[in-house]
Amino acid sequence: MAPERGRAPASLLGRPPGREPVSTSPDGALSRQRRFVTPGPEETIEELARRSLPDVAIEAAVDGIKSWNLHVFAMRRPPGLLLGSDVIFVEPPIAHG
Amino acid sequence: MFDVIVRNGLVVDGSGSPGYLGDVAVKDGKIAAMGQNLGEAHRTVEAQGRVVAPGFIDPHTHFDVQLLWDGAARPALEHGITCVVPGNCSLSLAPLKIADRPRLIGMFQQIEEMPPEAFTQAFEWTWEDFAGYRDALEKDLSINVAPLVGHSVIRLWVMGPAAQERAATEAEIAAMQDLLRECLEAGAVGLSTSFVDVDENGRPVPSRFAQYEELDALCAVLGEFGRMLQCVPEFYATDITLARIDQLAELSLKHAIPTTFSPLFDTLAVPDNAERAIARVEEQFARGARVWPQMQTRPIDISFSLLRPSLFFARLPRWVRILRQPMTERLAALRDPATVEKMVADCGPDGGETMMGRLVARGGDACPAELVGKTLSQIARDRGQAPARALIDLSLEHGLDVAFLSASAGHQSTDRIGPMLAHPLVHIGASDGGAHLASFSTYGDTGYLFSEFVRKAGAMSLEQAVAKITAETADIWGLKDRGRLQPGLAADIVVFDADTIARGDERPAFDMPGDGMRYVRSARGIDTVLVNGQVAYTAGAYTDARAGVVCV
Repeated sequence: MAPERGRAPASLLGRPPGREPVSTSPDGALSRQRRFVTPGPEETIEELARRSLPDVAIEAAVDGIKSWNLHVFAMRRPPGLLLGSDVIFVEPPIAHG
Repeated sequence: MFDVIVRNGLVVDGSGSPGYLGDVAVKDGKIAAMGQNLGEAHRTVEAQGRVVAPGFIDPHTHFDVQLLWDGAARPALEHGITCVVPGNCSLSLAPLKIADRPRLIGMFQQIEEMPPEAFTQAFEWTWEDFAGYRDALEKDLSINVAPLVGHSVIRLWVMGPAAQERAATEAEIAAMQDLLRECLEAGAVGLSTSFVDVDENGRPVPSRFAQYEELDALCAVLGEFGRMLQCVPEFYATDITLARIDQLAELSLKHAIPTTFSPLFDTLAVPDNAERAIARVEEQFARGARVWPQMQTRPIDISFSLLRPSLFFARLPRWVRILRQPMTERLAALRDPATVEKMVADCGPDGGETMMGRLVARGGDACPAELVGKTLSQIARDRGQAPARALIDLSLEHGLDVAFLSASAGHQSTDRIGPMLAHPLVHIGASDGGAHLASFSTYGDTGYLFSEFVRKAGAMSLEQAVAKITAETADIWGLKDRGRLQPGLAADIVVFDADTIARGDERPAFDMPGDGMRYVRSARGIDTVLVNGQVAYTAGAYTDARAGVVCV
């Protein structure tokens, strides 16, 4: 089944992004990695934050996403330009050891 | 009677099996027989004391344009390369409408550091579609070519300027699918895309405006042919690279296609970067996905002067803008105190000590001899200046013709990289052959594999190294009659000295259109190279053979 427009493949996420802290495959063959989504057409950061982190206040969700995605919101010119192919993390880095 | 016999060599057939003494006979472009006492041939290549191996395959190049005036992709062929894959990183010379040529040239100039003259002075650009490009290529090839088609040019063809503005509509995606299918039918080995590159105006390249849905649809077409998806990911950020590996894996599984990403660097600044990427690749392969990370053999060395823009300044957009100006304007900017003040400030609060202090003065026609070999930090201290300012002033004093070298700027630890290159899921490649002309030599990585990782470090055996860059590469890319010494397969053969094969010293050459300069390395230890059964290089010289083909 094709992934939902603007989102990472469902098989990576298990559930729609933001609902559960999983990014493993359904068969459990993958270790957990940071959850991410890809922006939808014309999607704003606020819209992306709402769908990705629905249980978080919008201001905090937007701030979080900006903080976790410096490659888009700090390093890019112009900062914050969302591209359809972008990987947008919806959680902070996770520890690896 | 055979056409050619390569006699008395150590036959290392590409399979990884131990080499053995024997002969290889060639007829009609194919390997006809292997063994001993095979009979007579019109031509004998004596290989006693030498290795006889399949021709090497370079899976990540940008020879798209050079091949049109130099069908040997010099000096790739003399390094034993008998097949190159151009069209990487979303950029190819077809399909492309005439009106979009300047846009593509700008992207090549920015991303691959190739001069515009290379596209305008050395060949007649007669085609728009992929079949036309193939025809133009095949007129004068000494080397084999397995060309990718670029996602960015497919988008440009279908969407025009909107390719760099927005997502595609369903109709546009369908048109891109049709166009990709046409390219694959005309001999494209797969599709390349980019998640990181920008054009000469700093605008993301067209492929970056594609939704996942668009890439998924294009991969469905790749699946009809079982062909490759190549991408350049955000290699500087581990977590994003892992996300890209996961995306590629999903596409690979869903469409039953091979995928590859390049480059994967080892860096001491982020020591677990490559390790984590390879671990994720292992997990994805265990699921049945095919996601091949490409790793180059050579360390990252970048040479530059202020005569032209350089990759070295990639993180300094003001410097890039100034260095791209015509000489008169560039000199004016570099002499303007206010501009220079800003340029120095761009290099950090220490005046560029951290960023540039370890640069070494390399030479250049006007470089004072006493400075050669000194670090910019030393030079700046002697001058009583900040390093960035010393770089500018020293360059101005000598007509900008002072070359600096940023040596071993990453990917330089043989002890760390050797085991990675030997890893069964790591694909040796990412040479960027034919690109970054004035920054570093993209030729000789295979020689360096043998000199550094086989002879010096012992990270892999001779047979493993040969297999990595021949049969394994052919298998990954689906090049069915390449990569092995085996009767019936194409007679792409390299004869080399295992004790001396190396990449040669990096030197400037002025052989690009418009008298353009590039860095090259001449081959060491390569005796003879056959392409499709014809001797294309021997005894240090190229022959008139033109047996190369588009081999997809």
